[in-house]
Amino acid sequence: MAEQPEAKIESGKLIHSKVEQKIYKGLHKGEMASPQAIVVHQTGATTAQHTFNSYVSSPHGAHFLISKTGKIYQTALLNKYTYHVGKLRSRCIETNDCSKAELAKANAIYLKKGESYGLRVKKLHKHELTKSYPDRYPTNKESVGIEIVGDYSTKTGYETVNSLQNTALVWLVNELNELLCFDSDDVYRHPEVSYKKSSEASSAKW
Amino acid sequence: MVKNMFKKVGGVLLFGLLVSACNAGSGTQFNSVTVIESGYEGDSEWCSDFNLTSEEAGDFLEKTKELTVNQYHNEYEHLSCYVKGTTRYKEASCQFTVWAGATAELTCDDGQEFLLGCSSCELIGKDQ
Repeated sequence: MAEQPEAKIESGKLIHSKVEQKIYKGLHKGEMASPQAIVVHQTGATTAQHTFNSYVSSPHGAHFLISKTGKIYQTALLNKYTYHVGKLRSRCIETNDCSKAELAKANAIYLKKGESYGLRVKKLHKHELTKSYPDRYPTNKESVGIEIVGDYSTKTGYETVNSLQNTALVWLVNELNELLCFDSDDVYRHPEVSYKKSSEASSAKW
Repeated sequence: MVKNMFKKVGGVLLFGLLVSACNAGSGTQFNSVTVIESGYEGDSEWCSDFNLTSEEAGDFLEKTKELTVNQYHNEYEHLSCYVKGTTRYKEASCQFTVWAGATAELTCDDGQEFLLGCSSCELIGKDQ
């Protein structure tokens, strides 16, 4: 019989000694009744404090933040959604799994000559929203975001996630999977889901 | 004939440049802009028709503004087709990459790095 997880969720808070509550209400954009996935990010900042500072005024942010020392902070409630995903890629195009009809529809948007790349991406995102998860990638409204502190350089991309951070990430992902009934397939790196730098969270392990 | 990369979008702009509420500064900030190569990361073949002349790249860069990492990451899409080249910016020699999502990165010889973007710019592929 599987051991019960020690952590629990109460009123959107993940209650456990490993998690420090540091909720930024400004990140809450609405109710999230039924989260279905996790998206793993990197902050592009050198310290957790840089990200906390940005959360005071930025509309963008995730539910958890893992510091350089592996400390886990909860920054938004699990029953609220936040802006952390961005415009969705076409899942079936990315995984070469489109039906013939769907591929034709998506390509008509994605490959439209004479239209800006930005507009194509916006239209493809809108098209994806007509589908349900997991036929498409998860949106803000159905995914938990985990940020890992890590700087970004134009030369080298996002820095490598350290072992303390990966240990914390493994624990957090396992607890969330258990408590929210996600499958291991429901955990994504941000660039897999949206149009972001490929190095973001590329060294994250869970 | 190769069409201009910037095109009037939605009844508004075209080459020369698009609008721009972006950089409201006056004068040229980017000097000696020279495109060296174009390409794309991974399998981003869908935007492999992305290409800019040196003049177009310079015009685009002039329309950008400097961004924080948060702005760059959260407010723009990273579309992985690019042109790369060299320029002078703030008295330093720099290598630039302009991405199809209307963003750019500068890595300069004095060690400085800049993230740039133009929220009102629309980049369009050229006929091959």
